[in-house]
Amino acid sequence: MIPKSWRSLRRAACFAILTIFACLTIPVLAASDAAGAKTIFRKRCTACHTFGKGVKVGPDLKGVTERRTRDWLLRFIRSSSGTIQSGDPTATKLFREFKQERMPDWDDLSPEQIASILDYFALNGPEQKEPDERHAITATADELKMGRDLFHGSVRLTHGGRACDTCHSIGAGEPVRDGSLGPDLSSVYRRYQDRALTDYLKRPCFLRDPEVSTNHYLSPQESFALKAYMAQRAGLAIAAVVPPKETAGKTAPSNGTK
Amino acid sequence: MKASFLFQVWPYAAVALFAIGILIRYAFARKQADRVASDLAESWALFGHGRLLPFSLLMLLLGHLAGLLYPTKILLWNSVPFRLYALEVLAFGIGFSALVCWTFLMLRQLGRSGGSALRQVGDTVFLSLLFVSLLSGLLTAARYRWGSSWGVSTLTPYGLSLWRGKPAVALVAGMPFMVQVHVFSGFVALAALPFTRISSILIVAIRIGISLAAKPISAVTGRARRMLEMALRRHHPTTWIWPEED
Repeated sequence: MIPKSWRSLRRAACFAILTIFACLTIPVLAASDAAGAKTIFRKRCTACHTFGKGVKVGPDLKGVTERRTRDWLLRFIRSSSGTIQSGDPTATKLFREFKQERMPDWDDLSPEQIASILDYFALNGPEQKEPDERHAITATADELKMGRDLFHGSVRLTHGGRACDTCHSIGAGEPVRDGSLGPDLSSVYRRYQDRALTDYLKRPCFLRDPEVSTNHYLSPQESFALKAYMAQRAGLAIAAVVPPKETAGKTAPSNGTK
Repeated sequence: MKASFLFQVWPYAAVALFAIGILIRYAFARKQADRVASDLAESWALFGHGRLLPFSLLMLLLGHLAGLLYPTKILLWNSVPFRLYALEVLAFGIGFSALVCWTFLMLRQLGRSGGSALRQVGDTVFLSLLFVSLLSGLLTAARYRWGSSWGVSTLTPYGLSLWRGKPAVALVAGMPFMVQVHVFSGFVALAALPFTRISSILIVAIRIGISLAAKPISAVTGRARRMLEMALRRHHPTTWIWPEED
């Protein structure tokens, strides 16, 4: 026989483990929900809808969660034809308004998936940019400094990758530690421009460790900071905006780098 | 030639050629001890002109091994610029001295005669290949700075992938031509080594190694045999059958 106190202790331990597990997994699941909603939006909605850019084939989806009820949206997304056939006035009006183009019945999407898409719309998700998708000109002084530190290895990359200066240089005036295996990157921003450089920084320029074994490269923040630093080295006039909360009681640095 | 052959198939072929060649030479050496002795004397005459060459070659070998075995420690060392410069300058100096000594060795070899034509060709090919390997290594170090840092991110994982039996060719195929020459010529030189007189040093080393390893084994087996004989003598069935005769 197991003593009662042991049983209660065991129960308490189980409860603690479950609580910790839930605390750890909920943010992960929430993030994966957002990522899933983003993927679904890109794959299934963007062919006919925009978000905040006007009518395409179907209506603009910005504010759709305010215009319609969640129940109605769930019903319509899963079976637009059924909703129209049932004589729903809103669905019928939309059907007439949009040249009698019927939306596909996305009945393979679960109510949870649709709920996550609607949450994504409610938070203006499609308009939110990834940190690395911002234009380099919006970089703050801290981000420029971070980019410089990451490039020259003063700060380590999150996933343990090598600093850029192991293989690259970035023009005169920088530490002589710069490598020469890869090309000089002082004008790379001018060659690629913002968008293409953002895409280029999404994968390593050539295969190497640890990227090849861990499949991780730069975080979006690191990618942006490096892009901004390269833009600055290429001569882009970056005002180096100082975030408002940092200005209070502090002298704003004129520029992020020396 | 395709990179898949040069860096996927050839390294294993080179190691196989080296192993088989050394085994065959070892087998022959057991029958022709005088030939090994003469090869050894000739190798010594060729190499034994100074200590700088063996020392620099040994240091280069150890440096490459350290890159393969302790990549993180090398990166940690290189994280301080002064230490990085010191390592690179030291490695370049050792490589340069090895190349100069090797060039003199090649000139000495050209002036020598004697021995079988096959051995002479083998020696010349090996000397040339190692010369290419040393030269390409030095040029790589001069042209592409901080090889001790980028090498452990690309060439070390490639070497380890070979060891694991899953060669990651892309790691070396994306490297500049000079780096590829350095890697490939190293493997070719390894394959050519058994066909040289220099390999007699290895044969003698293997022989010494085997005899050293065999000593404790033979001691243990000899002791076990003596104990077994004693036990058999003591518990021999004849003593039970005819005790009066004992």
